[in-house]
Amino acid sequence: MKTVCTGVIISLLLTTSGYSQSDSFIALKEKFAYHPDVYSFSTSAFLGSTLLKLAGEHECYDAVKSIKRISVIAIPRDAFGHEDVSLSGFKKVMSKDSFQELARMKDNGDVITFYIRSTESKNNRYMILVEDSDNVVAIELTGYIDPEFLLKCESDSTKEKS
Amino acid sequence: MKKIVAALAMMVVVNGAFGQDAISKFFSKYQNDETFSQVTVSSKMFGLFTNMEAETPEDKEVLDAISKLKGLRILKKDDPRNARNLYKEAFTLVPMKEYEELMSVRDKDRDIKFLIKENGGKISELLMIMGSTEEFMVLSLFGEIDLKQISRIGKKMDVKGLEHLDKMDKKN
Repeated sequence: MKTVCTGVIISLLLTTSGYSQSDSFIALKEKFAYHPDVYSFSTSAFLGSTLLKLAGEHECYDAVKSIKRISVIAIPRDAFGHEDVSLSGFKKVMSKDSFQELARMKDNGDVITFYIRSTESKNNRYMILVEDSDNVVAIELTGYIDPEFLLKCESDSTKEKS
Repeated sequence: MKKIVAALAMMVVVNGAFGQDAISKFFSKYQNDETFSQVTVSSKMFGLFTNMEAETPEDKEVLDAISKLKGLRILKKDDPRNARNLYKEAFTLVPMKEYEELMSVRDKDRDIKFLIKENGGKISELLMIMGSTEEFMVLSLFGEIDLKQISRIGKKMDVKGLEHLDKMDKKN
């Protein structure tokens, strides 16, 4: 019985995680699957939102509580060269996958870009690309983020140093 | 035929160059300077506010006003050495004939100028230039800007400097 239950749970988890990633993210993962310095993980957003609530970050918690899943992949810049692909090429893949740019921030040479693939049912996909001199990190979020919070995130970035 | 295509292409390029907003000149000049922070918000972001539910009629007005915005660009530098010089330089790069001064604020050591550009009776760009002994910032908000809602939009976006537009709202 235990084996059957475990099997069902694993199958469900695998199916859910399969559905919860965009073609763009899957393409990125498949391309760098065998590269030794590439790290990736995917998790339910429950843990993150619970931590935010416990930390008293209520505004942040309210804004992101409808996020269902988070997937992260960190790729060293060198790996792009080894795989003979480029970040601009990946951005084209994202564009074909219906991701649209929401905002871009550049600070100390690091670039953070927010993308969205929106749906009417608030089951959006958000992609955050963080580019620094050594790595590119792609974070995909599935669910819904309050646009007001997103807009504040962008403007807050201009205040951090003040 | 080739000449016509070339002429059309040239017209597009020339139109693009003149259609460039004021802050674009700053962006092109300093885009590779890592000491500057830059923020660009696309029309898609503001479009997300179109179908949002508002709790009060006032909120609805603000959301409607935000959804008509087409973009936001911010260029900022924290550097006490040349913040004042950058502030002065900003006014040499901004085609002042195209803008009208909306408000000028002197807050301690900080100077802030709000400029607007009008197109067909509607405000199409709000430019904020801020300079102090420690920092410099240029902000360009473009789209269809409702002046009555602008201080509330400023609060929603929580952009430093825009809170001064509250004063203008109270005067009106």
